[in-house]
Amino acid sequence: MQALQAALKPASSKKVYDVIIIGSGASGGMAAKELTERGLDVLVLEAGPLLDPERDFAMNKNTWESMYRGFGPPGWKQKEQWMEDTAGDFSRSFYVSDTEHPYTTEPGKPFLWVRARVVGGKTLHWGRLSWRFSDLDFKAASHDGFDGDWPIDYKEIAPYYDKAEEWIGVSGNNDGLWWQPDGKYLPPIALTCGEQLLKKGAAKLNIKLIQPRVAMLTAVKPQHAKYGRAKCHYCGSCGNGCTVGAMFNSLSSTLPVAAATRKMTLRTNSIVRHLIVDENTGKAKGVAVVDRQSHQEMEFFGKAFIVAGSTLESTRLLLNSKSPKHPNGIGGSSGVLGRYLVDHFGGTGASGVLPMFAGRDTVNEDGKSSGIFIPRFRNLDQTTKHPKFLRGYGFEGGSAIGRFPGVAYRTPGFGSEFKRQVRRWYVAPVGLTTRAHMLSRYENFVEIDPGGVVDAWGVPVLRVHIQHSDNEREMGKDAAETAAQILKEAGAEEIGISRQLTVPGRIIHELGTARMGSDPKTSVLNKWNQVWDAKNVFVTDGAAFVGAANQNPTLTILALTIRACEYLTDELKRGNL
Amino acid sequence: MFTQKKPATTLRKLHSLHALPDGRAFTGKIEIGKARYQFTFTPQEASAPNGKLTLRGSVKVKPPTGSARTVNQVTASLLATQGSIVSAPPVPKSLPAALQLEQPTRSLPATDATDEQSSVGVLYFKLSPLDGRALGVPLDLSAVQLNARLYATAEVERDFQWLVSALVLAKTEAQLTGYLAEINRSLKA
Ligand SMILES: Cc1cc2nc3c(=O)[nH]c(=O)nc-3n(C[C@H](O)[C@H](O)[C@H](O)COP(=O)(O)OP(=O)(O)OC[C@H]3O[C@@H](n4cnc5c(N)ncnc54)[C@H](O)[C@@H]3O)c2cc1C
Ligand code: SF4
Repeated sequence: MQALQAALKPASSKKVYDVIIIGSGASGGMAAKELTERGLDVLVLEAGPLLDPERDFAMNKNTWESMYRGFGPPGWKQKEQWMEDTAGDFSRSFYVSDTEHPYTTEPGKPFLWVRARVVGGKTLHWGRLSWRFSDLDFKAASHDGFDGDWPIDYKEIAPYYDKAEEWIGVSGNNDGLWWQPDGKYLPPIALTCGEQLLKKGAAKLNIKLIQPRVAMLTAVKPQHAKYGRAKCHYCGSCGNGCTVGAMFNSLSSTLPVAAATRKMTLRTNSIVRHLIVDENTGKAKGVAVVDRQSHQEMEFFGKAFIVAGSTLESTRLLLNSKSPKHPNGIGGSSGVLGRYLVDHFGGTGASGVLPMFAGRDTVNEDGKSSGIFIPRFRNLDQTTKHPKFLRGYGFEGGSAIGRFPGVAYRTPGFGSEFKRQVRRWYVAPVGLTTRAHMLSRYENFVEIDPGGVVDAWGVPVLRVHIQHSDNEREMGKDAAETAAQILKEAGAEEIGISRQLTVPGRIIHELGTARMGSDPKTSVLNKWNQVWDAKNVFVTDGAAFVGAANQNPTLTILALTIRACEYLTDELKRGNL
Repeated sequence: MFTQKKPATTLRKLHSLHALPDGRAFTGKIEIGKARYQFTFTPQEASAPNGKLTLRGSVKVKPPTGSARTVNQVTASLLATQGSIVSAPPVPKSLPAALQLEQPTRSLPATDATDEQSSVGVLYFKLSPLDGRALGVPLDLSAVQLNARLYATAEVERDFQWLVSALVLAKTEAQLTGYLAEINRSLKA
């Protein structure tokens, strides 16, 4: 933290920085590390404050220390942080207040936009699941003819996946599945007994269940020790912030590296309104910023820009960067800026209890908070082709227990018998929930709200247009039925099936809207995450995605960021930007 | 767009104001440093020029010390809405049969809080220009956006949320007129 505090030096409006990075989350943090390590002088502008893990994270807090057991007083969420679905009383400071950060939606088609405005962004409380995409994903269109391929293939990005995994520290197993590529892993986290049963149940249906690949340190390598990161002790409080640096986040893993180079200036509470365009060249020359606290307006200048505000914030920034040279915003010439918004969907699945574990004693590993993963098993090839939908889904889930006994919600009664029942079943839960591919469709898009709605700083907000198609609904139907079958085969009882798809945005994997491609007429970015229309601007977060795949996206965001930074540095040094 | 630095104005502009339902009114607070001003917008009449909901009513501001000030004939014009992500409120008990919505049957899974399960979560209104001095608020209130989050805890609030949701989803002129009449009835009740 001390090194980071030192990077909080005043930013200068007179200086021209080599690179200005907007955002300090997964992508912005990694960009700061990569660019400063290559000797560039970097200004990181982060809209939110810098939290101090020791003071602000609730990893060591017990639920009984909170008046409402971590849930917060009744109604607080509906009043302030309604759209921050995963926020709790212990983690509310990570999330934006919806009252200050509006967005609008099409009537009848809601969208849930979970956002973090703090140094580190959503990495402070993310789920840590770290999967590679394969050519089944990058070249999905070649498989089934829908939409277009990515302009990159697995071979090109594989070395950057290696780098990302080795740096952030991903625990996992190499399972030898061609469509779920292996990587550079720390020792895997063992499955619990219940998860072993799930694995056997899935195998009976010819479905593979594998150990999770999670950005949590199960061993400390020198690159982790150097920045004070410790091994995970399975406290299960990752969503409240990890104070020992065992889980990857920008505060523990990337920003300290950038700070140590002394090449990074970090300005917090700096909301970038838009990029400032040089009307002679069409390139960006600076950023217009409003201070979150003082509301003071200011400008900073740079040679190149990394836009990493998270998928939709980045696109909002580009759309808000209108000028005579870029009348539809920077990157707007193709007409696809804002288009092809996707999110994974979940919701469909099944849960139950494993009666053979009722009343057992708890063990430390019960709190491991990493679960299982069932990689995609539909539409891998002709033999697994599903007649009703394209692409596929995987399952997350498991049989582990958190500090709060979820089973209490479903247990009737009160008093000592209620407590006895809760204790008995607390140790036996099992569940599977879907993580599914949503097709990238032109008609799912964001635009600057045509009604003129603004946020608390007067910055125009997004209007989101998104809905599922029958492809997703068919997939959800299949997923709910398959999840229940797996649970049954595992010996679960009291199986409940969830059949509704989550509202778009709920899985917090919003992707697309500034897609990369091979043709400037149909894409916003080239294969280096570089804006076709303004070559000194790079968009390195999920906005660049062509398709969602069904795997969690952050590892791919990190790999693309490293690759883009390498290219940016070379191009800057060659004088090409 | 805003590439020039903004000229320094003496009063900071209040861009938006968060409010929650309180019976038939919306209440919120304006914070300036440690000072809190209680804000109340009480709509008395609804109309829908060009299909967009407009509420007309009074704005009352109570400063941290001293008495409240009120301005009448304030209009709140709907700019846009944000969809709710939780289940829709129940159909108002007094809703005429002709205005009830049909529930379609589905063979495939639905999406949470979408289509027939949807409702409006936030109404974003532009208020007609307010005079900060007249209301005793040392801010520029000339273009305030009222973010009315429909967190309904009473029947009258739930009915309003249901009717407003039906209004923004109205597909025919007859539905629009019908829901508007119901909103006006509930505002005057
Ligand atoms: C509860 C939860 C669980 C998750 N689980 C997983 C998981 O298991 N696996 C996975 O792969 N992903 C997961 N995710 C998603 C993951 O967190 C994101 O994919 C990842 O953080 C995206 O990185 P980013 O850099 O694009 O955005 P963020 O990490 O959100 O960082 C963006 C930063 O930019 C800043 N910013 C935005 N706009 C501006 C502006 N105008 N000016 C200045 N700064 C700005 C923000 O304040 C923020 O700090 C999860 C997310 C959540 C919330
Ligand atoms: S479980 Fe591990 S990674 Fe998560 S908060 Fe605890 S120590 Fe950190």
